[in-house]
Amino acid sequence: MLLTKSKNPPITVIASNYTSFLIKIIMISLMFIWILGFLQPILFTESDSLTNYFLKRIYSPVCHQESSKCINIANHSMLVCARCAGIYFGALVAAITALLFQIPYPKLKYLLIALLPLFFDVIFSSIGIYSYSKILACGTGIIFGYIVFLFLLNEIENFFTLKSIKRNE
Amino acid sequence: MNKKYLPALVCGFGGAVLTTIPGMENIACCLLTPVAAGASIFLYKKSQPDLLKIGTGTGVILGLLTAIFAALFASCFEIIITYITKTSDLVTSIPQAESVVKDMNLGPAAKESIELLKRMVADIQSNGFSILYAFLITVTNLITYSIFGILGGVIATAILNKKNINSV
Repeated sequence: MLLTKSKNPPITVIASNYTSFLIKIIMISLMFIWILGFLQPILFTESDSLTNYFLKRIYSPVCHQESSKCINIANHSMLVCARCAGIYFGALVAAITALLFQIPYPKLKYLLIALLPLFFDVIFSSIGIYSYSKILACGTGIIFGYIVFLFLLNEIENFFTLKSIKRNE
Repeated sequence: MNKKYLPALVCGFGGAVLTTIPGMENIACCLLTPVAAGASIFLYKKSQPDLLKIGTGTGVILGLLTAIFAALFASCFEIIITYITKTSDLVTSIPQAESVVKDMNLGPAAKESIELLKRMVADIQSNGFSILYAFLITVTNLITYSIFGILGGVIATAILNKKNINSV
């Protein structure tokens, strides 16, 4: 009997592609919600004070929210500092690019390399080698956010793909 | 005690203590909770030398547990500090919020919310404690810490597993 290569991919590949797509969509949606939250003072200027306070409190455990270090647009500042905003924007860009293109997932060493600019910026601006720059903080945050999101996405995809393969077996 | 709870409890407590140090948030920013979650996974791995690979699910659970402990301890510390000092960030931010509501004429819902905030401030200034404020900070801490704890747990598990594979 002649063995011909099947045109249809194995069911596990379809399942893993579907799982991966679903994970990416969910991650993008979550990132959007999170980013909309800290952009709330800029996007929805007419919200009530309790909502404002609640949202500010949501972000306060993970950011110092110093107004001088937050990005200001039209006299309204974001609820997180420039560095944190950069990390989240970087993660969102990574989520969108991962959905649209086939990009290789970073290795552990790239995660550490991406952390270095952010780490040195924190250290140098804290000890006064140079003064705090929102652009630099945001830029280093974007690099770190981009890489860390891809790293995270890879782990989550592996976890769910393995689970779905085990279920199919 | 279950081997999962102890590292989570220790690291959660450590993370919560660090959040109370003034200026710490300036340096650690959003990395404090993920690092605490990572430390808890590291301790869990140390407590079980025979374990070659930690499952991502275990990492998520450990990260979440650390985050829950950290959130509860951080809320307790904040409530205690508010009780002692009879002030909080809410007390300092209320005049600004009030002026925004007045300037923008945001309607009855906004006025109601500012009244609620004022009641909380009055309770804090007179008794040092407001049940609504305590509830609000605990809920917000639980939400944020949990998200970052889970993320920290996933990343730390991947890092530790990769390190383990390299060393074997």
